[in-house]
Amino acid sequence: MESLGAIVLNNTYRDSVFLMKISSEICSMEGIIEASAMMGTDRNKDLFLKSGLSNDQVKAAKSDDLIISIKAENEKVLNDSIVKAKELLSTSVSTQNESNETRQIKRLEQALKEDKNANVLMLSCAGDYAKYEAAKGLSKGMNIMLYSDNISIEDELALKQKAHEKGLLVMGPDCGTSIINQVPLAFANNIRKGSIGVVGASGTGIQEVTSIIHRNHGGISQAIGTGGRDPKKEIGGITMMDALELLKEDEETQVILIVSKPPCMEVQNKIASFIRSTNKPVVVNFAGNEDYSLIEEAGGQGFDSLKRAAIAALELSGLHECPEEICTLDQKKLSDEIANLSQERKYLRGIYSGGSLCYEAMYFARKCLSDLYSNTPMKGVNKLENVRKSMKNLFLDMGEDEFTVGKPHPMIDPTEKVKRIKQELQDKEVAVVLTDCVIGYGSFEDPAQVIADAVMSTRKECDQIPLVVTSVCGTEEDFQVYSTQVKKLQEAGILVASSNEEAIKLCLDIMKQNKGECDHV
Amino acid sequence: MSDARNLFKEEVDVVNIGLKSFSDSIDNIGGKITHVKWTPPASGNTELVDLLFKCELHSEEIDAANKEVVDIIMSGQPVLLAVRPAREVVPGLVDHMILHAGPPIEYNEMCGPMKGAVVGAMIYEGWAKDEEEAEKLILEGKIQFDCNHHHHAVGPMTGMITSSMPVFVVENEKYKNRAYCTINEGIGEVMRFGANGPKVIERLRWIEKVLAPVLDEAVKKAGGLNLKNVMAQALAMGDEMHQRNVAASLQFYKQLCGEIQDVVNGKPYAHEVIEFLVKKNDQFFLNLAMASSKSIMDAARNVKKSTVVTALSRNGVDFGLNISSLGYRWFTAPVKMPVGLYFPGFSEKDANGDMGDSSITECIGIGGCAMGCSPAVVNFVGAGSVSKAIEYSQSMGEITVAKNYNLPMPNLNFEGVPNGFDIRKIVETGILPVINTGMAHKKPGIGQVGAGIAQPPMEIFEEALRVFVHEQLGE
Repeated sequence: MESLGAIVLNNTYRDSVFLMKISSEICSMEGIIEASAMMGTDRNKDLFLKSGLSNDQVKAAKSDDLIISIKAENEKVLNDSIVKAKELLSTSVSTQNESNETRQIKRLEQALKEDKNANVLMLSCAGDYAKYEAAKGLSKGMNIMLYSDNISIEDELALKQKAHEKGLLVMGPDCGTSIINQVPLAFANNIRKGSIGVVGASGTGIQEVTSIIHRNHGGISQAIGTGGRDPKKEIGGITMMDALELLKEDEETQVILIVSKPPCMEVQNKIASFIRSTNKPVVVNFAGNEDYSLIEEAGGQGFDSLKRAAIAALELSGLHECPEEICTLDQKKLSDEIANLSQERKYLRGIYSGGSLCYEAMYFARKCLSDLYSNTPMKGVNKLENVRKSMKNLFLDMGEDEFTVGKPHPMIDPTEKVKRIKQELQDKEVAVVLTDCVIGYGSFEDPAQVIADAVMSTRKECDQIPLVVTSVCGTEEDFQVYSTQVKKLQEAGILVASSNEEAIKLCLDIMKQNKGECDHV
Repeated sequence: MSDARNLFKEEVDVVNIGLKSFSDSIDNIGGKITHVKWTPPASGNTELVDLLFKCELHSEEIDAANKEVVDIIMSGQPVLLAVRPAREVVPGLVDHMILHAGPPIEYNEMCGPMKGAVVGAMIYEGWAKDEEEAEKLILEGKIQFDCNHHHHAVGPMTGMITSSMPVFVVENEKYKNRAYCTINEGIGEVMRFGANGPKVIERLRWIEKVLAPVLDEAVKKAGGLNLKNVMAQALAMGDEMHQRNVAASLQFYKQLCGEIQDVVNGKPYAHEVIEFLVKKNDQFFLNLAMASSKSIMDAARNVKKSTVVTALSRNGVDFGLNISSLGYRWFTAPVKMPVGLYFPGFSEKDANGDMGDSSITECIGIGGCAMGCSPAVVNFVGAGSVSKAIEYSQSMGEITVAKNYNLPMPNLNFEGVPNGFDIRKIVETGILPVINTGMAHKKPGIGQVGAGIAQPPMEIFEEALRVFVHEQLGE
């Protein structure tokens, strides 16, 4: 008998990261179907309801109550897990008390009393609160790095207008990556100092281009994230245009690289006028966009892949692409493996943690694969209705809300992503599984190992598994170490390409050889 | 203050709220990072956080308005000019009118002690000879009621003011506005706690006929008395001037002792007057601190877009709040029970709800705000320890706009008292103003049963914030 139980602790607060840790620890217990620990805000209670974890106790909880709700296979497991949950909570209290004695900074104002020169406020708390903290930070003259999402577009606009008036930047909301003066903000790679200034409306897009620049011996002056909605009409690219102006004035920046989903026409026009206004060369990648005539007419260069945009910027900075020998493939062995794939294996499954990387792969796949599904579809791609159930050719961005509510982002904790990869590996209709492996600051300590483990264990369990393709986004100087990650993947029989673009193209090539699909890769 | 233009040339110095791993990354490369052990603002209430967000988008205007208000508070100069019958000086006070403490309230809604005081005031004025006659007149609508605050006046506990009662006339010299408060009756059976027996009436008459004229003449001989200086000195002597006024009362007498001596010299009541002022009533100065505070806070009213509290006041049933930008709009909710120590023989079941205009003192930064420099009051108001009392003062700093350097706290390195409660900060932090208060017996006439700390209900600040955002910001 399935059994549902909840603990509600009145007036008890723990931050979401801590609660996610509890969620995932309970989820990993034997016999647990689903578990989540969150504060009892209306939004969270709604999520409990949607995930089938709500009961009267959960419904009655208040916003400053802490809720842990668990669904287990039977009552025994449930009771054990509740004991465990209480244990996990109480260990936190003692450690928190210890550290509270040494430092009592609980509010932004208190932090600024201790650190009067603070100039960046980084926010990853829930959006409902982050917008207020961001507004306060702006009032106090700070630039804002806003990783948090769930902020309305009206509120984003209000924040950005306020920032613009004060000559400050709001990087975000939902901004995964920035690197200011070599300091990583949120997810970022260890990139050497150089002359390429990057502005990006996409987190892993910035990570991919900066990593490629670094691996090819180039460097960056700054990388400024804007948040994905910035180039939309409602915002009008406020942060993007302010950031571009800053790079124009910045002496260290010689080349400017812009990565974004296609901006609205108004912002594209602004970018075109910006290109005309500066002597510095400008390269753009608008993910999913093929027509760069507006940019080119203004004197800029446009590329439909992150890799080629990065290389173009690199060359403009006076360097050249160097072949990444570590990622070479054994073509003969690959052909044999494709030939050996069983008859019913005909689909490609892309399981991603990085949204921009997923989008780029989908863009290339769309050109030649039919029956394409995604939880974040672009034009020509079908919406995947049930995100738990795979359909035909699929691109899944597991950094999206439906996967991350109450759980850490897959780049921080790849457990859910690896589970899904395993599910695809066991699927007898799948020919190729494509995934990303993003390393760097903020990311999981060893993502290659968990992917490799999943592949090797499934290979033992099944007669045959699909081919697995990936690329590592990161650098040799990242603490996970690029080459180490690549080797771990290769040792597990995974095909490692030198960029996301090359990884998807390899997949499409395999698909073509396998079934004759995709004529124009 | 930073500017993105300088950001590339400065050291990046980050404050992080949220994921600890983001702080660790910066820490690991030796970057400057302060990690905040954050909890959600406004106890996680998203409706309130949204209001705070809207305020923050207008923070420049609001901060400027609030600065204007605290500048007015800090530059206020309360001067005692005279002691006159209320009918002569209190604006709008007509015959058969009773002014009371707190936000406006109907007679039949009043708590026991306030009803008792109303009857007492009517007997004192000769409008009724007993309770029955008094209630009949009230029922017939022959008596007008209003709250003190609407007449630039304040009164402790029940806060009765009627036409014959003498009041201190305090002028805020800087802004030329005046405020009024009755003379403290002393301890024991007193009207401010709802008593209305013959002894109470007799004492009030003595105050009216004997004491008030003496004080009036002495003050005028002295050419007025600057009360702010008295207050600053008393603060340095361990008074917070709400619960403890020993030093302030003595300072007051010291300032006028020559003039009072001249007035009472050779009079039969000389001994009695001096003893009343100096020996019998440690709380004598409270009413002067209140009139001073009222004169200071009235000058700070009606500043557009200000979120600073201009009055905190209780009538024993409801707690009332005014903020500067919303004039005399009262935000009210039921009072909470004060928490503290009871005199022997009494307990919390005897206590009346929180009452009095005296919480005007906290509005200028004395009383609960200054508890840290009043060690003697600590146990009496239930703070427990001196360090706890200092924590109270420091926590009041979290919800106020500025520190009033004109009222320094010696044992807190002469830091000024916390000044100007900001409803935004109160709602954000959940920290409520702390009010040092006496507790009345819920039955009229018994008097004070203890003293302690009272806090306003949070709802009044939340509602004021809602109305502020709607009306002052147009959101």
